[in-house]
Amino acid sequence: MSVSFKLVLPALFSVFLIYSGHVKAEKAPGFTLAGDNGKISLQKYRGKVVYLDFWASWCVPCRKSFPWMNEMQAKYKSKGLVVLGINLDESKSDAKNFLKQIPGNFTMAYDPNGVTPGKYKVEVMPTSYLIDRRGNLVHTHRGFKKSKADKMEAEIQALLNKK
Amino acid sequence: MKKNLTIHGILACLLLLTGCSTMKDVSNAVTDSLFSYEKVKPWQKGELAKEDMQLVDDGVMTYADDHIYFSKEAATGGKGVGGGGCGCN
Amino acid sequence: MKSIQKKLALASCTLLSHGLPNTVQAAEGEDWAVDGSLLHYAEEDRITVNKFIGTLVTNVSEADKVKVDLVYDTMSGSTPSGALDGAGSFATISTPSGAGGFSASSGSTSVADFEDTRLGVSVDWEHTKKRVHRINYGSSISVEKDFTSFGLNTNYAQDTSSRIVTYSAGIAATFDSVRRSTGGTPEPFAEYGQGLTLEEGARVTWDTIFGVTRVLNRRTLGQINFSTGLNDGYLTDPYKLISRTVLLDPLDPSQGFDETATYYENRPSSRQRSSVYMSMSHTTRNDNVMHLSYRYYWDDWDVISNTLDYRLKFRYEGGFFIEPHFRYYDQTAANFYMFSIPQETFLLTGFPEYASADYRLDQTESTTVGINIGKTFPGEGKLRVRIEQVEWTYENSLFDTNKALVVQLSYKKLFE
Repeated sequence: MSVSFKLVLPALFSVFLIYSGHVKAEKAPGFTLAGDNGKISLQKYRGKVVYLDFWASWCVPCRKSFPWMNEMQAKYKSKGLVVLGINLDESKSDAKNFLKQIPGNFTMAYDPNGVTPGKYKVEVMPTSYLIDRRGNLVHTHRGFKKSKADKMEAEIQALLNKK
Repeated sequence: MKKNLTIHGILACLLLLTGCSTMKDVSNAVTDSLFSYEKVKPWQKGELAKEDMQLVDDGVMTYADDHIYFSKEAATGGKGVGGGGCGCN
Repeated sequence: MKSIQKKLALASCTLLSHGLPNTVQAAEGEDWAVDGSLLHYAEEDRITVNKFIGTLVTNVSEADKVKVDLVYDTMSGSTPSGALDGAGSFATISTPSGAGGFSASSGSTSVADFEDTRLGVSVDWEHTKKRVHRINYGSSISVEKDFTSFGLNTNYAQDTSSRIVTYSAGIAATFDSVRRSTGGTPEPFAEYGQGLTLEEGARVTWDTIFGVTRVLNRRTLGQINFSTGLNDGYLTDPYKLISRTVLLDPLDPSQGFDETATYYENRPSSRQRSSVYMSMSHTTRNDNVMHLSYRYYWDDWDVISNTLDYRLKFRYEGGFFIEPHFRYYDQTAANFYMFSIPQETFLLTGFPEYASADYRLDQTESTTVGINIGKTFPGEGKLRVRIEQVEWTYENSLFDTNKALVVQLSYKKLFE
């Protein structure tokens, strides 16, 4: 009887955690893609908070999101934030031309075959995801709106402060 | 009038020059577009997002044409309403 | 005397030709976009129109876009009134192609001189909800000496969650007031220069449109629209005339005719119109962009029409482009269109119920050939100039053909 009691409590507690919404136990899908200097894989960033952004040169809201992402990366780098942009242009030169006009001062990965967005069920361009230090996919943001920037910054801070 | 003939001639020549390209493009377009349907993913909309691909890609020119033909011909309307294309935001 | 050319009803074009969500989408991301255009339209020996068009699009909020259009036209020249010249001048109109020809002597009633200016303004507001619902409200007003028009329209568009298909529906109402510059409208079928002067002509136009736009593949976008409309009220042209003719030799029409009297025309007070319009944009394997559209139109005046429009844009380094354009158009004659009222018929049955000799209701074929050349400055704007030649040929009307040259220079500037 004491054995089953020891099992029931943690089991119930886990169930409670999962369904309470406090901890979304959904792991962010892993990937390994080409970067500017060698390969980039999501595994490498376990322990950091990752702001993952799917973008393309033709995506108009990306012109507004990049300056904000640059700001976030610079501000919270020391606290453990990694802004990771995954470019989905089929031609790398399109991405390069965009970056010439609007620089991205954060980690860049390239997925011209569009393998990763399928895993993340991307519906619109751009879409960004916040991944906590344990690799869980916590927040999804479809599109980019300046009015939501403060709220997203608060989410980043909350995840950085969590152990 | 001679002036109009010359312009018409130049335009006709230009159309002829593009004619071969036109023929090839049209036949390719027929096979590429009308008969190949695919469920395009949001991140595959790079071409569709370009301004040139909008069905009405030049508002002031379409507007001018509609007025010219509206005032000289009996049939009117048909266009208008839009959507589709970009998967942005 | 003035011409129906001036019935350039800005209002009724607003819903049906502005391509609302599409053109507004072009300003997405930029905070302002201004497009200015100068157009020169010149017919061979007939009218000339100079037009200024200005468009401003701005994002007033993240979910709201406002578009303001301004049009200023100046028109002058002469145009066929539908009447035939006085006694003594005649032509043989025996061949179906109307190759007989006719030259109007000066001072005849068959051409009318005019001059006018028009100002039109329209405002559109588009609101987006949850990214997939868009509702557009539009209003427009157009004013000239003998014509005033006011219109309202609304359009709703919804995308499917995959953003592959967009469904839209719209409705527009336009209120027009028509009068001669000298005041009022003429008594129908009264003799020219005589008869009563009746009050201003008023009419209402209702238009509805249902459309589906679909992404066919990565390089192709297609659209199909079904439209229907109703015109109700004064649909006659207060300046247009029709002549009564008598054959010089009743047994040999090829001998020509003589004009015996000229009357004001008379048209029905309602018109039901419908059309099916299909349009496609496609990026070819060579990275050229093709636009192809076809419209089938029919109405209860028995006008049936086909319109085919084709453009192919060649894009080059540095944003340059060259775009040839070709358009073909045809229409059948309206059921009350007639070149003249034959004396023989007139003596037997008097005036027909309705009659008009307006060449624009005649059986017509038209071709347009043009070229558009320009340069796109990415993120900054677009400069372009186009030259087009349009030619209309008429089956029965007095003047066999009408040729027009169109030159348009436009510049669009984007502001963050």
